[in-house]
Parts: sequence; C-alpha cells; structure tokens
Amino acid sequence: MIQKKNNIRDDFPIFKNHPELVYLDSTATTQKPKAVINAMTAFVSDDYATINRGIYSLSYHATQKCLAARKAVQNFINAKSEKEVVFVKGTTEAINIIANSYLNHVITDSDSILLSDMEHHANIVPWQQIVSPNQIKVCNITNSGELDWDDFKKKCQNNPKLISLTHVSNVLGTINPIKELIAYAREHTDAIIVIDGAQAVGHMAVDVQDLDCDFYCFSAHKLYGPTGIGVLYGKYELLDEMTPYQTGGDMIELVSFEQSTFTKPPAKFEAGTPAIMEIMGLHACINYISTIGFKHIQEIEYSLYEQLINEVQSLKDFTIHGESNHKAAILSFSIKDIHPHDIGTIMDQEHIAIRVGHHCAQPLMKRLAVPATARISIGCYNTSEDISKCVTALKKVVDFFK
Amino acid sequence: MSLNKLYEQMILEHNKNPRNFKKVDPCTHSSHGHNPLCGDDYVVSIRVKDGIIDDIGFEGMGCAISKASGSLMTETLIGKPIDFVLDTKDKFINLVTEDDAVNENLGKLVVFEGVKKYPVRVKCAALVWRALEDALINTSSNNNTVTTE
Ligand SMILES: Cc1ncc(COP(=O)(O)O)c(C=O)c1O
Repeated sequence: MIQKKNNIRDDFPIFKNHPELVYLDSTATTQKPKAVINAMTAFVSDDYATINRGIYSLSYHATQKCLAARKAVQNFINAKSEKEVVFVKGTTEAINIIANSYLNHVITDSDSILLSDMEHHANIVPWQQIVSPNQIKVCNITNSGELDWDDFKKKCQNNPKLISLTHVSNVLGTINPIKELIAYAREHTDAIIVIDGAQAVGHMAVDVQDLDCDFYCFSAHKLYGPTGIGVLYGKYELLDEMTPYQTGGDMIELVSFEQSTFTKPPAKFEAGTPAIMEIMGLHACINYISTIGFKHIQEIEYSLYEQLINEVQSLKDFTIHGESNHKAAILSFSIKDIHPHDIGTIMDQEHIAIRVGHHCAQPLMKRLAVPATARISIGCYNTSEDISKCVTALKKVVDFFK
Repeated sequence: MSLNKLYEQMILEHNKNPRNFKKVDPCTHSSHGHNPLCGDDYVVSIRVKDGIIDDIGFEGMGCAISKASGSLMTETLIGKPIDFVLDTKDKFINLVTEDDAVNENLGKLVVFEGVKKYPVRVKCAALVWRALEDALINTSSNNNTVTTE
C-alpha cells in the first residue's frame, strides 16, 4: 500500500520553503524537522550556558540537559550505561578516535585488521594511518553486493586484531548480518569489533548489547539531527583502558605543569567545550524518531523503495548496483553510456536532488568496475509523488542522450 | 534555464563521436587529468614539431561535457602554433568562468559558454585544458597528473 499523503513531510520546513524539491539524498544527510530546529533554538534562547563548570543555575541546568541527552542516546542504542556514550563530531571522528586511542596502542607488526570491500572512506583511511597496507585484509563482496561469508570466515583465520564493518552500505544499501558476523568473529577470533552505524541508526532499531559489538559509531545529521555531533559508543572497559585522543579542558582531574591525570570516560574523550546546542538537537531527533517509530519509518521507506524498483524496470540500459535481499531504501545505479554527472545535472534541472559520484567509496567503485554511480536514497519524509517525479526525470535523461 | 544551453547539440554529438580519441604515439608531451570528485579521467598526448601541434589526442572516460571538451579542444588545436594554443587555453578558461569573457576567435568552442551557469560543471569542461596546460608547461617530466576540484 502506498500512501498518497505523507504527514511527516509537514514536519520539515525545507519542503514548505522549496515546494518543488524532491529530496532523494538522505543517505548523504537528512533534512531537519521543526522539532529539532525548535529544540536547538529554544535552548540557545532560553537555557544557554556552558556545561560541567558553572556554579550558577543556568549552567547547572544546561549540564543536566546534556546528561539527559546522553541518557537518551543510551536508551536509543540500548547501551549498558550512559558512560559508554561519548559525544563526538560524527562517525568520522569516532573512527579516528578508535584508530588513534585504541588500535595504535595495541597493534604490533605481525597483526592484521579486517575491513570489507563496501566500506566508506571514513572506515578505511583512519586505519591506514595506523597500520601498513599489508596489514589490512579486506573481505570480498558477492556480485549481489553482500559480504562474502566464506571469505569472511577465511579471513577470520588470521585472527585479526580488529574488525571494522559497516552496518548498512551507503552505496549498495546492503544491511549486513552484523549480529551473525560478530557472533562468528567472537567464536573464532579475539578481534575487537567496530561497527560503522552511520547508515543504520536512522532506519532501524540498534541494540548494541544484543549485537555485542565493542564500538558503534554514528552521526546525528543522518538521523534528522544536526551536523557537528555524533556518537562513539564503546564498551566501558575498553574506553577506560584507552588513552585520550585529544587533551585539554574538561577531561582532566588534576593538572600541574609536571603532570595531569585524566578523568573517566566519557569525559576523558570530550576535551574542550562540547557542541552543546547540537547535543540538544541530537536529543530532539532521537525523541522525534521515537515518536514516529521505526515500524512506521520502515513502512514508508520500503513501500517507496518497492515503487521505485517497479518503476525503474521500464528504463532501458539501467543497471542496479546492490541487489541483496536485505537492503535499506538506497538505490545505486548506472545508465549505459550516460555518465552519472550528466544524470545528476539533468535531475537537478527537475529539482530532484540525488547523489552522483563515488560516494566516498572508491574501493567499492573499483570492485563494481564503474567510475561513479548515481544514487537515490529515501527518507521518512518522501512521498509516492517524489518517486514518480524521479522516475519521470530519469526517462527524460535517457531520452535526452538517446 | 534550458538544459540545451548546457548540452548544446554540438556537445551531445561530440560526446557520442569524440574526435582524436586516441593516444598520440610517439608524443613529445602528455599529462593525465583527473577529477577526483566525479571520476573524469583523461590522458592528453601531444606531438609538437617546429613549434606547431603536429598531432594531439585524448583518451579516458568521463561525462558528456568533459568528453566533448576533449574532442573540440583537439579538433581546434591540431596544426596550430604553441602561442595560439596557450592563448586559446586562457580564453577558454575565461569563457567558462568569467561573466564578461570576450569570446572572439574561439570558433566552435563557444558552445561551452553555457557551462558558466552550472558552477559544479565548470571543472568538467576545463579538465582536458588543464591537462594540456600541464603537458605543455611542465615539459621536463612526462606523464604528470593534474586534478581539478
Ligand atoms: C557508511 C558511512 N560511514 C561513515 C560516514 C561518515 O559520516 P560523517 O561524514 O557524518 O562523519 C558516512 C557518511 O557519508 C557513511 O555513509
């Protein structure tokens, strides 16, 4: 069943201000609902002060609000304790922290780490700064765009020091069977397991205890929240062992010019005055998503994805990249003899925002043997009309270059 | 704005049937042009004889704008003296970037004027020209790489 009217759309001012906009790039970043915009504005207008330090009540209340946000994140991903929730800039920073504060201190020359062919640059480059190229093993993907289980098992035999995988591929849309992969790795390796959750958290419930990952990373801006804030979840024992990545104010117990001692996690990883306003936005987007519920979000996204898949069948020379049976509402594609950049420009003329390029996944482009792809990605505010307009525009692209 | 201003018929035609889509062998100058953002990727190769472009070709892959640009660039420059080539290069870059560009003596290349209105596409049109510039100016080392972003 495809609903004609999507009431959720009314929550997003961008669509009032650009009635013609067909926004199909939610994988890059999501638009923001009034609830998030208002929460941030209200905090800055009514409650703004620094946190942790102020003895005055305004600061005390701001501190309490940040704590409430941390607890909201804890509940959102079902962490054991709010102390396991570190506020960071986003997924990229979270992975950089793990690479520098964890891997850097435990890796030896004989160790390897395991990644996959479908990783975002954010889950490749930070590791490359710590280990040499021959220490990075890469799990293959199958032609349908899934992780190759046999290859994963084979590469687990090396007993990698760390395994870092994406929960959902930002290009192929594949939802990896993270829980099963982790269970297998736990049984056959001693690896520390990192999950890049950037593309998962906005579309499905995540339970870090059930998954049993060691670290889980995500960004608020892909979750209908603000940029500049994200989460590094880590098991407390691990966070406690790690040395901080940045140092400065807010993360120390005692400072003298001879020596300083660090506080406990999460403060240990949050040097400096944090993005307080963005933390309020993160809390608000979690509340917003919880109010709608993942069940409803998935109903919308999957019915639109199905419509999209059905309608693109009529397009000539259209290749879909990523045909797993377990997919998020992300469609990467190529059209024969038409470069993705040309597709993007023509779509833009029709006010349709889609992403074209390598999607920060150049190794995956190489694996797919394409220089770039075009990508349509669906969010909870999209409508059946958006999909129809998009496919009509794609027909125009094909005709234009015929 | 009309798409036809960007994708002029001539551009579409040169995209389909690019001229001088080849490697010049032997060549005296060459350079690799790469646009990391969208993956446009070409090698421009040139043979200069007595200060004249004796032969010029480009090879690789990319969008319609970049490919047509390579095709029309090579067609325009073949048999021309180096001074003319460098002057045309400057005029072309002006044409696709400056609002008050004078487009005299650019011949067919004026079909790229519309690109100016699509800021994210300017680098597509400019890529092969940047590679050409690099090939001719950095004569000492063959097979350089230039990137446009
Ligand atoms: C799978 C994946 N990982 C990591 C990132 C990086 O996230 P951010 O840019 O918010 O740090 C992205 C964003 O595009 C992504 O899609």
